[in-house]
Amino acid sequence: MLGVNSREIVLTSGGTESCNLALLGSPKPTMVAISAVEHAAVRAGAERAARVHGVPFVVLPVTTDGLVDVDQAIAMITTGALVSVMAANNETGVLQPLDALVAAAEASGRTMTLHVDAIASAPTKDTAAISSGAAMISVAAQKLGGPVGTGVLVVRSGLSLDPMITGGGQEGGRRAGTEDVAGAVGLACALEEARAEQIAGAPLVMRGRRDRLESLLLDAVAGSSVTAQRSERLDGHAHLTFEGIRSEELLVLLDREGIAASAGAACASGAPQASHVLLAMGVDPQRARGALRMTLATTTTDDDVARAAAAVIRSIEALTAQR
Amino acid sequence: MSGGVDSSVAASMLVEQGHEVTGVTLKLWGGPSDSGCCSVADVEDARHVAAQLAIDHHVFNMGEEFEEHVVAPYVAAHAAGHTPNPCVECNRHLKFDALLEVSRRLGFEALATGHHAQVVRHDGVTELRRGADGAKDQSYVLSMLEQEQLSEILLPIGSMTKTDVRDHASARGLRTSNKAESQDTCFIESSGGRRRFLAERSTLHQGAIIEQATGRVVGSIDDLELVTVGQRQRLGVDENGERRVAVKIDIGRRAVLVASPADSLISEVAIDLGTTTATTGSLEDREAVLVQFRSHGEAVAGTLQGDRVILDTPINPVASGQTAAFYDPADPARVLGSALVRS
Repeated sequence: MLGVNSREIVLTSGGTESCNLALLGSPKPTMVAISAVEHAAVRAGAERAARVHGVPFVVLPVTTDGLVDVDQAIAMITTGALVSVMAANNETGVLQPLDALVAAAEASGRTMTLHVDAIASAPTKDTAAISSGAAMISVAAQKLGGPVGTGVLVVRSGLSLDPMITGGGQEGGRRAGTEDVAGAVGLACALEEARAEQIAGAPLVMRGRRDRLESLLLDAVAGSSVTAQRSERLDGHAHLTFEGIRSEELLVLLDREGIAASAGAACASGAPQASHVLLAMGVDPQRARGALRMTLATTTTDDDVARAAAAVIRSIEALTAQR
Repeated sequence: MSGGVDSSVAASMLVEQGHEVTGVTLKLWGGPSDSGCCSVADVEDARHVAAQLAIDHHVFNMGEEFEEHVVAPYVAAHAAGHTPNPCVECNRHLKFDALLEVSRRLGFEALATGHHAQVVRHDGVTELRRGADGAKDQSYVLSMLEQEQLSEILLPIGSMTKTDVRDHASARGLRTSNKAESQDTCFIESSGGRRRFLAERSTLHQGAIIEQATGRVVGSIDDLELVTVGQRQRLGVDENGERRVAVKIDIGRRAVLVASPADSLISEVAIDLGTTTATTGSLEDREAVLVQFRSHGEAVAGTLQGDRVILDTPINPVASGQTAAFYDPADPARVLGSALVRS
């Protein structure tokens, strides 16, 4: 499913561990660079790796469309860098230009070790098709509908990786601990099903529903806009911002209507905070407080879309009526 | 729901009274804090109690509003030689303003808290009254509330003693029944205290200690902006061996004026009329009041006269920035209103 041989797979406890292992287990680089829109697991792992190795930590900026600026990135990366850029963003769904990044690095003569967080992209994009220029790839079962608590780090042959967890030498000495076989089987099944759906074209059908959901909201709600509308995005991600709305209040009302949605990361206490992804894209902080992300599955129906749109519209009307 | 026993029991009582209750914890401060209020552990406690009560629980982030209306003004007030009460401002702007608006937007009919105070409704008017437990009464920090807020507020534990509250909690196995009370200002750590907090956000200056009566410089103090009018610590003793009392902070001259305890007593307190609130109706000029200047202090008799409170008996000096809470001399548990003290 991943287009690699079994020795290139390290079983982990999930996406966070995979990302951390990639960043902390790699040999000392000249710098650690991540895109400005990476998940907290990558950011934390990268900052820590830079600190431990005593090398610079660099953030590669994104455009207002949410894409890594490849030219700027290459200018900022020194040869021998450890770089982490996600395949697709978990909040906005924006697909990153990995092929362009790899090609540009090669053209400039810079060597880099590239880690790709493919956790959000795995359900709808073939992980095996991710650039061969990616040295390591993180995948997690839960976004695929597999069991929470299982993941994989792909490590291409020839790369050395120090373990974070040491002990009985499992996983080729890269991750000790008795393997979670049941979890691994669950992950493999989930990957198989996702691949079958991709081949059958299910993501494209889902994309149509996503587009319809976004249109319904754009038409009905003044001051609404779709985030990164011009960029290639994951087929199931609907992400909007609503002017004058606080997403935490919108989520309370949606929850009452039986709609589960999100608005970006929560802090340790569970309180919402403005999405660093949106801020990195230059979205106005006040606007970013009115963000809403809804994700569809291939099993989401037209009825579901209609119901969700109606619930969002009704909730926003209720919030604005009180002014 | 702050994660403390008072708000836990308030929520519990409302559930038992048959209301549809939703618990809310406010995330106000993201910096270091060990005050026992609103840390991650406190939010966890609130969430746990909500789960025990089988009610929904949400955490709202009001950090920006808190910084704007409570923390930044706190720093500015100290820099200007005042002694602010951030809890009063938090109640005024956050809990009973911003949160009340959120509550309305979400379709709730009332907002309840675990404050030790009482709201009593009759003839279309809502009274605010002291809590039954005199030692815990929090009507002082709620004294700025007016009818617009009070008509939508419930204070379920106000008629209970602290012991009753803890008993209610332990009888129901609520996690917070034995939790220690939060002390001090929620955004200031106990190690370092106000000094460290203010030194990080502003500059603390050395100040001269000057005898008010003679103009003589009798000493100096390291952090003038931390001095509070009325304090007797760190200012030394006069030639009679009596502790000097701070009577005025003069930021412009970088000095604190001091006097002997006897000479420091005051018979009137100036109030900022722009900050006056009236609980029901309005405060009348020449009205006789009981006035309380501290969270847990005695209320003394006086009369409102324009922008002053004339006291029947002289009292220790009161710092500008403090709240003057007014109570009804004919019904001393009833709150009449409030105003901020000015220098």
